[in-house]
Amino acid sequence: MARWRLTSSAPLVPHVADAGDRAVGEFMDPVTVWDDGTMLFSVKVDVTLREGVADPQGATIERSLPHLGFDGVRGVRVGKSIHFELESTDASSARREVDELCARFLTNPVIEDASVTIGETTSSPVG
Amino acid sequence: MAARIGVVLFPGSNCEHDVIEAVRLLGGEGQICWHGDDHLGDVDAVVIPGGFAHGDYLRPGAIARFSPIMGAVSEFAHAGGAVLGICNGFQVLTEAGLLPGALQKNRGLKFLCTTVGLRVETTNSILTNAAEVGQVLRVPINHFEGSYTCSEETLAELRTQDRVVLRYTDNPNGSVDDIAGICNEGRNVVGLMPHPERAVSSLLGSEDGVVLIESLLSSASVSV
Repeated sequence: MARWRLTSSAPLVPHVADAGDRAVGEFMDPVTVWDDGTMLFSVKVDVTLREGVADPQGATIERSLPHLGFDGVRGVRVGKSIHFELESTDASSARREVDELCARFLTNPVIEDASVTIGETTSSPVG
Repeated sequence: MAARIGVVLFPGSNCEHDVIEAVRLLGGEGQICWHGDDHLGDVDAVVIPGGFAHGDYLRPGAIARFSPIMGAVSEFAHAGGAVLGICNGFQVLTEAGLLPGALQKNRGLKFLCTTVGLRVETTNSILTNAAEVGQVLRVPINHFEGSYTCSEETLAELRTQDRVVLRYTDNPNGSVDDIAGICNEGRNVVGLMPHPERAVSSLLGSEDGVVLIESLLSSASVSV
C-alpha cells in the first residue's frame, strides 16, 4: 500500500528531539525525507470567526481583563490553531490541497475564516 | 400502516431512544439507523437526534456529516423525504449543507437547559403541518451551541420564503431573528434546537411537542 519509501532512518512523524527544552506537542519542523521528489510541508491553519460574527468567548475574555488590571485591551477574538504535515509534489499543489481542506472541513465558511501558513521543510532526494 | 421513523445513531448521539419512545407513544414505529451504514433501510422519515455526534470535535456536526449514512440521508432528503434534525441533528444538517446557516455558541456562553416558548410561524413544513400559526408551544432546550446565525441574504430568503418554522417567544441564546427552527426550500427538511420528543407527556412537564411529532408522522406516511 505504501507509495513512499523512507530513505533515512528519520521517523515519519516529527518527534520531540529534546524534550528538556521543548514542550511536548509544540509545533516542530518534520524531518522525513522521501526518495521520489515528494516534499513534506508543515502546515498551520488558524481558524477565526469571520468579521462581524459575534464572538462570545472573545467578549467574555475582554470583559475580564480590566479586573486583572489589564486596561486598554480591545478586539479580543478567539480561534483555533490546527497543525499538520502534508505530502505534496510542490508548494502550489500543497496550497491548493490545504485551501480545499479548509473550505470543506476545517472551517465552516458561514461563520469562520482560515489563515494558512505553509512551510517547506525538506527537499529531496537525499541519501 | 404505522409510519416508520429511522433515527440516526452516531457515536455520541444521546437522544435516539427519546425520539423512538415519542414516536411509539404517538402510534409510529421507530428504528435505529447506524451512522456507519450507507443506507437507511425501509423508513418513511428520518430523524437526526440530539447529542454530541463524534464528540462534537472540530465543530458540532463537522465530522458527522462525513459518516456513511449521511449520503443516504441526503439522497432521501433530495427525493422529498421528511428529515428532521433536533438540536445536534440541526447542527449536523447545517454542516451537511441540507439547511443553510450555522449554529454558534450561545450568547452569554451558558449551557442552556430549560423550557422555552416557541411560536409556530408556518404550518407548511413536515414539523408543523398539524399545528396552527401563532400557536405557542412549551418545549425544552438543552444546548451550548444553539445560536442560529446566517448571512443577511440567507435571512432575507428564509423570511420571504416563509421558511422560519419556529421562533422563540423569549430568545434564550442570541439566535438571529429569534429563530428556533427552519426548513429547506422543499419544506421537507427541518432543523430546530428545542427537543419536541421531550415534551410528549405531562409527566415530562409538557405535552406541547405532541403536535410537532404528529406532524412528522403524518408527513412520513405521505412522503417518498
